[in-house]
Amino acid sequence: MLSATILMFLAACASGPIKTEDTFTSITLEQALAANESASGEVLWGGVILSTTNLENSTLLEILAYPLDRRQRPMKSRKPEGRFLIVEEGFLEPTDYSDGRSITVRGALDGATSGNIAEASYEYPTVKADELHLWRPGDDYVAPRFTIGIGFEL
Amino acid sequence: MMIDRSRVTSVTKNYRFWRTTGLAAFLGLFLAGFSAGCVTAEPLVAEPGTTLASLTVLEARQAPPATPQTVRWGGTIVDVTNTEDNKTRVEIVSRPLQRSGRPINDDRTDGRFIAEFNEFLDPEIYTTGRDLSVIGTVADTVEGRIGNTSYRFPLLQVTNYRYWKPLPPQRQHPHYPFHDHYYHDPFWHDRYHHDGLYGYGRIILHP
Repeated sequence: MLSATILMFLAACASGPIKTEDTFTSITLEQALAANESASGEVLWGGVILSTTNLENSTLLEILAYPLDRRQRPMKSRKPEGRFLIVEEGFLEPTDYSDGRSITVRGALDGATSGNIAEASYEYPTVKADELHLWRPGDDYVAPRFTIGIGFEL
Repeated sequence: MMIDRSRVTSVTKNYRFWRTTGLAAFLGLFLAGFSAGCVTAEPLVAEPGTTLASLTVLEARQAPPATPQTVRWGGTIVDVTNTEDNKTRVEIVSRPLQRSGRPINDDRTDGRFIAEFNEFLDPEIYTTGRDLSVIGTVADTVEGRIGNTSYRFPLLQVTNYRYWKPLPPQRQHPHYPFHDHYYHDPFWHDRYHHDGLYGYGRIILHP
């Protein structure tokens, strides 16, 4: 009974909304950018949506990637890691998947897609989404703040 | 000049009376203001005698209903198009509705639908991003596009609608830089700051 309770607490302590195997380690975006076309494997990445494109049978999300915290939320106060694309089968409502919102994805890395960022060409690592989590504004990452105060008593 | 002492009233005697009256007036105004803020828009309900069908936007998208159904749907406006025959087509991202009919904005959606009005609605007034709920009949669908996706929009002929005012945002308590007062009572007599109506040793004359 006690061990079951402890196990429950441990499970509750585990990370965020997207369930992954205990042995799962994601390749980083940096590694994927280096490997380019030959990159593959399962990834857990996240970031901020830059654009949403509804295609005939799928939706393309362009993401500015940030490292994830323990709750799998993209840490927007850190340095961005680069950009990648999420391909989701079917229709995602662009009003909800809108620019600026945080999103975390687990999926299969499927090579790279050529694109342009202004005049520079960019190879976007492309993730076929298995599981997507769109973060609510109220539940989003907040950078830790430190304040120092001085008090006195009358 | 001689002060008529019979008309001089000491501070201590009237202080309590005015303080209580003032406090009562303040509370009265406060409560009135508070409840005015709590007043919500009239809910959108069906005409007495009409029953609304349970047809959802998702079901209507998959197949237009065999017979016209009267429903109450609502959501966020994405587009307002005025047509030549003095009608208006409003494209709406559907949302779950509260009992009053007001849309709940929490990323859940059954898809988009088009509400057709038999009047001119000004796109400057009915703007993208605002919430709109409608009651009307759904009989068929319209083919269209969202981006590059071909999309089948259920078409609703509007008989009644409600254009919702945005709810006031949750306010944080403002942090005054030097005082940490969260409650300011203008009638509180503060001996150290003298910012109340009554200071030390004032004399009030009554006619």
